[in-house]
Amino acid sequence: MTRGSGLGLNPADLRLGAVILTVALLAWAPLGWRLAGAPPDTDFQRKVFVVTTPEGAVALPADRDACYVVTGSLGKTVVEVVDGRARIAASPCPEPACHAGWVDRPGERRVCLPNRVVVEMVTRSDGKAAPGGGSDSETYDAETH
Amino acid sequence: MTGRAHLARRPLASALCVVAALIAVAAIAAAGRLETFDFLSPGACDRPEPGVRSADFLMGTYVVISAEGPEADPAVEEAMAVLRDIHRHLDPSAPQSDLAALAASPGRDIPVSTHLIAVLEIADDVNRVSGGAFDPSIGPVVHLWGFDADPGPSDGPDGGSDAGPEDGSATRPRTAPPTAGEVTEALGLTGWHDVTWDAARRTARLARPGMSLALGGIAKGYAVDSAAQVLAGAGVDRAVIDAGGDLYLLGTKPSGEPWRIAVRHPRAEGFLGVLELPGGTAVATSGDYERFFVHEGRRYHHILDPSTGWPVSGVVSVTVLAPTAAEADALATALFVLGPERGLELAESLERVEALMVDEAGTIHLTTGMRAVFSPELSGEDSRSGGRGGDDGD
Repeated sequence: MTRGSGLGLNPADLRLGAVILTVALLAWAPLGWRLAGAPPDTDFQRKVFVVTTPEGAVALPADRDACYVVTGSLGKTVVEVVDGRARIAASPCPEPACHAGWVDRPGERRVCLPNRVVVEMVTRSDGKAAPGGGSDSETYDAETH
Repeated sequence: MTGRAHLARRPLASALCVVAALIAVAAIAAAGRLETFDFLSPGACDRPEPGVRSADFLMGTYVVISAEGPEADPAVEEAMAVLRDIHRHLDPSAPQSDLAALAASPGRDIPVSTHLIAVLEIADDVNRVSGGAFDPSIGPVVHLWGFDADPGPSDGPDGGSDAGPEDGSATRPRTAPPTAGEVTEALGLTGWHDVTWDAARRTARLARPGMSLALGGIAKGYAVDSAAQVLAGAGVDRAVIDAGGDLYLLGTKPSGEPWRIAVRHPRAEGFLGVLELPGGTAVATSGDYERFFVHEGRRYHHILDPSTGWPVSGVVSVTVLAPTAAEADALATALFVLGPERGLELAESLERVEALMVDEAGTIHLTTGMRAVFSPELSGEDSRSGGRGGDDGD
């Protein structure tokens, strides 16, 4: 008892506590880095591309360049994600000009109606898109056309 | 000596160890959740979910409702059900629509839905104030031009905010304009005064054989309003109802900032600018850029002048703000037909109506109130476009 602390801890207790606290702090470190270092709009409101087809909807990360083949009503459709932008790169629809152009800001959307393929960027809050969730100057709540 | 006995003698040490372990477990769980957060798996999130989003292909376009509030989930579901009901009655692709029934029985009073009666009442108002520039009886001319054509297995292309099919029959898109004689003949089958209805009895009548209604310039707006009424009645805090660019903004954003609505550029990729709007505002745009064909170097688009039967020239895009989406939708078409000078004059004369018009030269014309809420897009690709990104007067 002479080498123990005033709290009644012996050296074994102290070692065990130190190990567990170290593990706890190491576990919190990545989360703390995320919360401190991530920009506000990528923290709990992350931007993703949502591609809707007759077969359902899929979410595509905006930060990963790739080409995806989805199936529309008229057939295979290519959705391309490059540099945080997405577009319907190839579609069997008769009027591809209707959905030409890139989607690169929340609120933007390209719709190929005959093919029933939609590519849009959404800002999500707590896991679901919420109206008015965006607050930065690059975000649109909707588009009129 | 057992561990249990040891811990029993060191209650404080045991408590500290347990707390530290719990901290570690919680941290690992929290970090893991952020890593695997999946938009398509909302169940993975155990916090309250403030946003509800539902979408469908209806009224010949892609309809999206985003809403937030304690009753948002059932309210959005109910609003989508109302939209589907409107689609069933007013969309020309629906086999049992009111439009098909009217066209099939000219000269007779036909039982119709309350939706059609409401649309006819609003259409009548806009027809009157616009001097006939908005006229849903233009159906036979729309059909002649093929702008009611179904290009695929779906409901048809968007952009039908102005013209739409009228009798349910499918035609193919034209690649060349009709002859002047054909247009004149089709014009003979139009006339708003030959469309009558009885709101009390819920009947409507087309006076002559061959007549038909084209509600593409108003039905989507009416559907948006109907959905907004459901959401507002359910106490939804805020919502955006979007039917192919016809919008209604319900409530205020959590930040208190205005809603930011991008306006599609009519001649370039990207946006013409952004509208910053309060809740309770409806927005609609009519443009010549989504449904058209080019013949011998000339563009023939779907916004037809009811007085001539030919595509309107002089304007390429009109965006209207109004208290309701049906009014905004119909007025966008009417102003397009009237042109910048008469169109802006009409918009200025109407309460709570504002307009943005882009003419063929790319010049942007704004009403007084629109100047306060419209900011031109100045960055990137948009700055290269024909639009002049700013008010240059009327």
